[in-house]
Amino acid sequence: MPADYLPVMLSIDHPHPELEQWVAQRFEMLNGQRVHIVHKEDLPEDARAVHPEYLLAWLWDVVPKDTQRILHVDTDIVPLRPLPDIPDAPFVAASDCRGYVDRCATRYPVIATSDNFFNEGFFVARRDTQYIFEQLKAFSIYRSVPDTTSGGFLQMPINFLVQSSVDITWLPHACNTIAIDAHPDMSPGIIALHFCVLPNDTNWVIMNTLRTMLGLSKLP
Amino acid sequence: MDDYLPVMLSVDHPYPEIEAWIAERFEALNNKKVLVVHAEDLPEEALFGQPTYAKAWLWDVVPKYVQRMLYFDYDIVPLRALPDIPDVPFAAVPDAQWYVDKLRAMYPFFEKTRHAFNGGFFMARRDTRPCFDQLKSFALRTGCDNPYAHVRGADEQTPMNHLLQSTFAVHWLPREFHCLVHTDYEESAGAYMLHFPGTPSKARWSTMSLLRSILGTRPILDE
Repeated sequence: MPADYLPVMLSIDHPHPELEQWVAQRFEMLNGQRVHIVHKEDLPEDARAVHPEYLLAWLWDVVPKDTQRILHVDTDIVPLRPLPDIPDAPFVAASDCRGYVDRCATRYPVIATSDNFFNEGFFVARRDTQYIFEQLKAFSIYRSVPDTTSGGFLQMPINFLVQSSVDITWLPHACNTIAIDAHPDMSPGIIALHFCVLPNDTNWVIMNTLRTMLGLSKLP
Repeated sequence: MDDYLPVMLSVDHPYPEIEAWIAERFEALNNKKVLVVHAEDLPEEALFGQPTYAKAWLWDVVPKYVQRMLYFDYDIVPLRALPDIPDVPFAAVPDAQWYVDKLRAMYPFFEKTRHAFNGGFFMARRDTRPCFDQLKSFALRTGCDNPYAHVRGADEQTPMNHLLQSTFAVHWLPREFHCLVHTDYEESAGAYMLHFPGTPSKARWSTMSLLRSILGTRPILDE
């Protein structure tokens, strides 16, 4: 099946626009799809009042109305190799690293049931999941009203909502490899590498190094 | 003048293939074979205290004819060929400014110095050996009861700065020579060496492994 999705990257006040551009260009070079980059000014009025962590909930509001599938990718994910074909399913995501899934499963029954968990930095959602995002919006506004600077961890609610609403089609962890948990032996097969939760500017420095060393080169 | 011996201290490296790659990449870029120092190459006393103090014994493990050594930690990736480094007793790169400020607030000595260097990368000439010998006796006498231990991650670095900066005028190199992965964004675009201090262990080795699989021993790919 051809890649009939719109890649979308939410880039709110990115500290290094050259990295934003590079990641988008690399994605396009590898997957043949131009990335739709969303900046703060593209967001609807009601979204501007919520903490940036919650803006994922507004994804369907910032894409053209004829878009049937969105591929969401965080700004700190480096595409290394082409993505596999994405099945035409309501919601497709990559399994988080096993240890993290196990930790979540011990605390939350819905995760224990599915025995899987996705990192919110990468997923593909079909338009028939839009109602889930509307629920997320309500949650995000509710959480942001008392204090717009109070960030939230959207990953857990989005997992709860999606996993209790549709059957997720799972892609391998290689599609969204979390660098902080990756084993060195994994590197030859990594499709996209996610530099989240690294201390200070480490994520941006590593990405800038890759930008200057790797540029738009293809990997074997 | 560029006659130096590159030396990497690698005591119990968790990933020998990464250690070997760093040495190979350095050699490919700079045309100099790296002396990799393992635990068994060090005198027993060097392994008594904290591992980071082992660099005090560096002059004991290099051949006697070596006049200059370029030292670098095992979590530093050579990215580009190093330019010439002047023939001075000691050359190093300023550490992150916030760290130097912290040292200044704690130790009056650092108020007089221009910078403090990160102990992960330096060029030392043989005439600095007495400073290293002093560091050895400091390491042995204090052992784990380190007066600098409350400076997180400082280990040997603060006494090394004390000893070398009070004896020699350190030649300061640009940050591109030794780019710190948690702070030096601007410099990272043209870095010669990239250091991963304090990076969580898995992220450090997986990123280095990734760079290994991408770069191998080739120079920059996108030129």
